[in-house]
Amino acid sequence: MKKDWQAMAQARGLEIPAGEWGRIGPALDALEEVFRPLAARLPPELEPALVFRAGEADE
Amino acid sequence: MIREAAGDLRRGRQTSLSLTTAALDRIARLHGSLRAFITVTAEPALARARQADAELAAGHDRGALHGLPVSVKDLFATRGILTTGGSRVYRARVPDFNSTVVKRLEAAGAVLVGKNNLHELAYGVTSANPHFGAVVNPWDPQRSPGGSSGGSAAALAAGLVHGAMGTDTGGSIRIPASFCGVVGLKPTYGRVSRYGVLPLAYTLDHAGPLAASVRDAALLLNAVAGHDPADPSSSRRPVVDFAPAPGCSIRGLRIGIPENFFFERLDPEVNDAVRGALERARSLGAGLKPVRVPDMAAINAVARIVQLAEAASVLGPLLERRDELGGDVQALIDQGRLVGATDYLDAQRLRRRYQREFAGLWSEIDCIAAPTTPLTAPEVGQTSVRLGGEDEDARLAVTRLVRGINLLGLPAISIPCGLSGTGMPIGLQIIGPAFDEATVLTAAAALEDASVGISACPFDGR
Repeated sequence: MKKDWQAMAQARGLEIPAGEWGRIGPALDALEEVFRPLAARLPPELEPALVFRAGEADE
Repeated sequence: MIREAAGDLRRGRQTSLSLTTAALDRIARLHGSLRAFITVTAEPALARARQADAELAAGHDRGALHGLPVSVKDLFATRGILTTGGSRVYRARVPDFNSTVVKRLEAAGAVLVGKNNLHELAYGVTSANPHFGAVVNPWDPQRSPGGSSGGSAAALAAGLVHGAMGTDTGGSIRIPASFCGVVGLKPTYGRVSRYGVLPLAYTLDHAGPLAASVRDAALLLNAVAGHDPADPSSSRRPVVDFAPAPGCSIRGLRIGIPENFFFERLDPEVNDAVRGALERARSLGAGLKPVRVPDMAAINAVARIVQLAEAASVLGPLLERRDELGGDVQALIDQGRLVGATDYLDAQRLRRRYQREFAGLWSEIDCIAAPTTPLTAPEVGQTSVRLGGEDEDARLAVTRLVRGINLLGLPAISIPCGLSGTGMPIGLQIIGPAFDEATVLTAAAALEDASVGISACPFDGR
């Protein structure tokens, strides 16, 4: 099922000019088609490639 | 070439001042026709050149880059010097600090002659900058120079500098290197500090050198590589001397030749030139081993999700000044704002999976060789290309063979390996295991030594 990008933008309060949708919707649709099946069956133990280490704050 | 110029300096045939003056003169003469720079730092460069000469005269030799004119993409912070990121929104931004890369180049004695033009905010592959002018490909002004480090590559191809630094988030060093016929190295993620580099996508951004030769790229990497506590992603892996030895050998090197993805839907001239270079490698004693690589189309999709989301996080606030941004950049930021948090995390989980899958290859091979781009530089303004009988969005085609390597964080170099029938450069990409830039550089240098390459760009500004 295709996502309704305009409705999503509205729900998130994103202001995107009407003239931009021709460059946004088709590009995201095409990306979704490849990405969605990949993300559909990830095992829970597969952690993201992002690491947080407590005690290593650099600020 | 850096080594030759460095030799001339030490033999008294040149001075840093004469090299820098010549570079500045050539930049001034060709700027109008190339638009490779946003800012030229003539006065500080001349002062630094005099200092470099004085240091050498006093026996203080900072190494291979000492006294040589270099440039950096205009998203490396430079203290007291405009750093625009190629965007109107940053047109008056003058940092009060140096990026680590600039600091290390200066410590190595290099003379910064200017800041290179780029695709706005490094978010695109054409370098057709709407605010500072479109960078011109010195090989053919009707053809794209590639991007986003287009100014750095054009400056090198036109012989304006001895080396340049760029950044690569989805191919932005290797693509312009391929289109402009120069060497471009994307080091391993974490090898070169990102501190002080205007970010595009935190986990995909890499800083690296563009150069006229493989050994020049290695010398630049020597100067800038190494741990930096100011960059949270900086690696503590030890830094070696990356410069390949004279006459380095690739006898016995196991070069993986992908059976899938990398040689599909290519311009036949690109295919022929790359395969010709690989035959040269075989004649030098390297073993060519067919390999199946993980699903690169999937890896590219995952990389795009990560880039869209991270770039929207970084650049989203700039949409408050939407009218000051180029239309292509606006559209990409808007796309990124529609990527959900779970999609971003799923993409980072998939990244882990593909990293593991790819790591399995390195027990069979030492590096992978493939084209850098499936085609030579497209025409300026071209939005779609036809490859293998299929129409393809030009931006996706240009990034198709390079983007996934950013997700994997692996070192990859592009070297010129031939010219098309229309006289445009063709790039060969060599990809290595994480933190094994030495193998990538050695393989590339051996091919360069064996005359895999092209003649100098004939550009003279007319």
